Amino acid sequence: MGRINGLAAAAAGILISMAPLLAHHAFTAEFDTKKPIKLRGTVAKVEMVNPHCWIYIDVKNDDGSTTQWMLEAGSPNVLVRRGFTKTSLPKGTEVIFEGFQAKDGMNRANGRDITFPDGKKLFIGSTGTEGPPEETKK
Amino acid sequence: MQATYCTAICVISLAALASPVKGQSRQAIPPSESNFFIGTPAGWLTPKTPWGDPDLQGIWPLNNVGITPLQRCFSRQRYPGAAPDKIAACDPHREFMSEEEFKTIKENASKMPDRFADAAREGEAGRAFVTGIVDAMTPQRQTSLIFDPPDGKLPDMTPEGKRLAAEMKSTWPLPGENLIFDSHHDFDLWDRCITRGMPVSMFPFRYNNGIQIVQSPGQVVIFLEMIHDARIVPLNDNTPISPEIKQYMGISRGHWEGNTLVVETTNFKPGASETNTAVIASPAGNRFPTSDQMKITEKFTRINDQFLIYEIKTEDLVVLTHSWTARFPLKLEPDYKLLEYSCQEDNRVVPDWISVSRAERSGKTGAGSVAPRR
Amino acid sequence: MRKSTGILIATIAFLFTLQAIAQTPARQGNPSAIPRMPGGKPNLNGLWQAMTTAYWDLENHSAQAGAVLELGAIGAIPAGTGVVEGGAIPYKPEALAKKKENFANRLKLDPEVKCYLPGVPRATYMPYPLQIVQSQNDVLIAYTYDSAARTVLVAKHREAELDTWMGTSNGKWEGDTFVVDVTGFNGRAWLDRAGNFATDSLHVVERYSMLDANTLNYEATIEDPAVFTRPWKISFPLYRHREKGARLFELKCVEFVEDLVYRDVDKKPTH
Repeated sequence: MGRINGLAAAAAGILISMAPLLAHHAFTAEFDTKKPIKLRGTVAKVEMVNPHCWIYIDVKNDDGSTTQWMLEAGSPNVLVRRGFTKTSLPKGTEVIFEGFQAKDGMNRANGRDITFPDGKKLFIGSTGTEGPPEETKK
Repeated sequence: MQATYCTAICVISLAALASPVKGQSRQAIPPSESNFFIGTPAGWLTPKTPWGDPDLQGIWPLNNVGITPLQRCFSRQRYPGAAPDKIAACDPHREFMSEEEFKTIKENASKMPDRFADAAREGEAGRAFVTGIVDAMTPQRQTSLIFDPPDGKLPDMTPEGKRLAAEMKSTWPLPGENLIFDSHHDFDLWDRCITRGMPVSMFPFRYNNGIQIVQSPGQVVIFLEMIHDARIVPLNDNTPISPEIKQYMGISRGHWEGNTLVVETTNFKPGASETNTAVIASPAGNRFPTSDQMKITEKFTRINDQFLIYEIKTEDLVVLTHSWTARFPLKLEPDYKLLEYSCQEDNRVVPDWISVSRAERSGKTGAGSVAPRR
Repeated sequence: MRKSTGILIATIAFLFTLQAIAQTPARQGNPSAIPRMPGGKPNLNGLWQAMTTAYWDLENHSAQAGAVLELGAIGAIPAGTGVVEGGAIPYKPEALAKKKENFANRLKLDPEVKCYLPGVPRATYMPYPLQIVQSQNDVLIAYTYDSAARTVLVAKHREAELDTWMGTSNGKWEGDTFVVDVTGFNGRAWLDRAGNFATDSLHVVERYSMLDANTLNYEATIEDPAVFTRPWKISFPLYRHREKGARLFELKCVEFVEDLVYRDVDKKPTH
């Protein structure tokens, strides 16, 4: 291959490291990446706002009470341009969220994924009024 | 003494496109370094608006150069773990990759897993929402956005520049820095949803890179998606404006030099960082100051139906020991949907980060209830 | 003989004059004086500003004290004729109650206090200049307040894909009138400082037509079945700024409200 250009190395490195640097501020400063959390709840509301969308999920606690969590998501402009809207995560959908809690202990989190409880991916059209495809029906 | 960052061919090619052709057919301009390897077809003439100005209208998103480093051979020696051999191999005066190298870069980029594009393509809402999506980025053959100084690096700051930098705040730490947040003054103007400022608003970000140019007789507007800024450029208007009037986006005036739009901006209100870590190979920490003496000169030259060449020169005798100039191509994306980017209305950065900072310092975390909105 | 010829000529001249007067449009303003773009459409380009007190209150109102004691007369509200055709905004009873509640809590609730985007039509009658940039296709309107701006899509219309503060604007020409259809509002903006409001089912249709070279007539039909019993209309002129070198300046007011908005969060000065 010959000599490795510092640029190529930098470019490759940067594309990989772009993953956590999605906000206009540093992810790890706000969320505790050492303590991943997993939440199961239903989608209460999706706010398509800038700078971050917020997904509110109602999580049932062991004692029967409900706690609402707010999950930080990306900019709605980018999501809409890629075909996602607020109905992509319809109210009432039961989901599992995997991510990291805010370091101040509030019910605020950011993370990796939201899926159906059985781990199946949440695709557009797989929930809500269009009717879920067979394999995602519980 | 003008730093020459343009080869002779560059000067001739752009000059040929910049000057209006009077009635004769034009030869094709082949791809070369001077036009960023984007050729101009034979007979192509700059389209004109109905009132006779060159037509630059449309959406030219900045993510076209979103993975091109700001600085050439950006040293990783500031950060632990840098590999010295990788730095030594980089030639600071080489402005463009060879065809072979560029081919390799493009191949590597296409093989790079793009979780976001995959999530989008498959309609996977869950992952798309929480991990966020960035704009698509295209590899470019230029080794850096900066062409002057000739080594492709930002000029050094003056002692006053360094002093001002030390007073700046941001959520992005300098290496080894442990930031504390206790008031909105501990954040930068972008975190606070005030502005991204100049020149950085004209450089790529991870997302919302939309820029729309709209023209009317006597005016050009450069509308930025983020944070909803209409940069209004009156043409041939030399009405003096007092230096007492300062704005974050400055005050702009424009004129045509042949088919090139030249925009000069002064009257800056200092406060924004001149660089942003969102642009690869930028200095860490977003602590690059601007002063009210900053002057920015931009040039827009359309080279075919799809591309224009953009140049931006930043001068600031208070902060910079030398001016710096970036040049790069922008591509017309007629299907790019520019959407409203409201910011302050739902910005949680200030209260959330202060809450986290205080919890870390005191060791006390919240009761578990959702933090009150606004 | 000469005398009768003279009378004949005078009569013919008089009749021609009468005819000329009859042919001049009797309406306000002279359409032939309107600046036009190449292609013939009226040229709406320029720096414009409303001169009403609608930004305080769309409806008829007396002079009254302001909401902030320390501002004294500077914060006082001047009297003004409403810009609502028919006088009163046709609220549904429960919505009228909400409007009154808004007014009672306006310092806390009015989005303008916090430098939030003004929405449409409020942006049009704020007490600052606005700039219309009209190309051969799209029209961009830039506002002083909060650097608000919107592009009115003309060549290629688009549906609202996101609920926003300023809505999604699609424009077209009906003769010499520029008609803008605005939908996709998030329902969070107010209509003025008096607490008049709408929801996310708001639909606004604006009509811009030049009365003369320096006067633009603005009309907006406002419709929201969740709030109003029927659509209603506002109208007023926009006047061209003619000072030499007049231009749109920034009012990036977020910075000016931070001490207020972050009052409960910012560190208190130590004793």
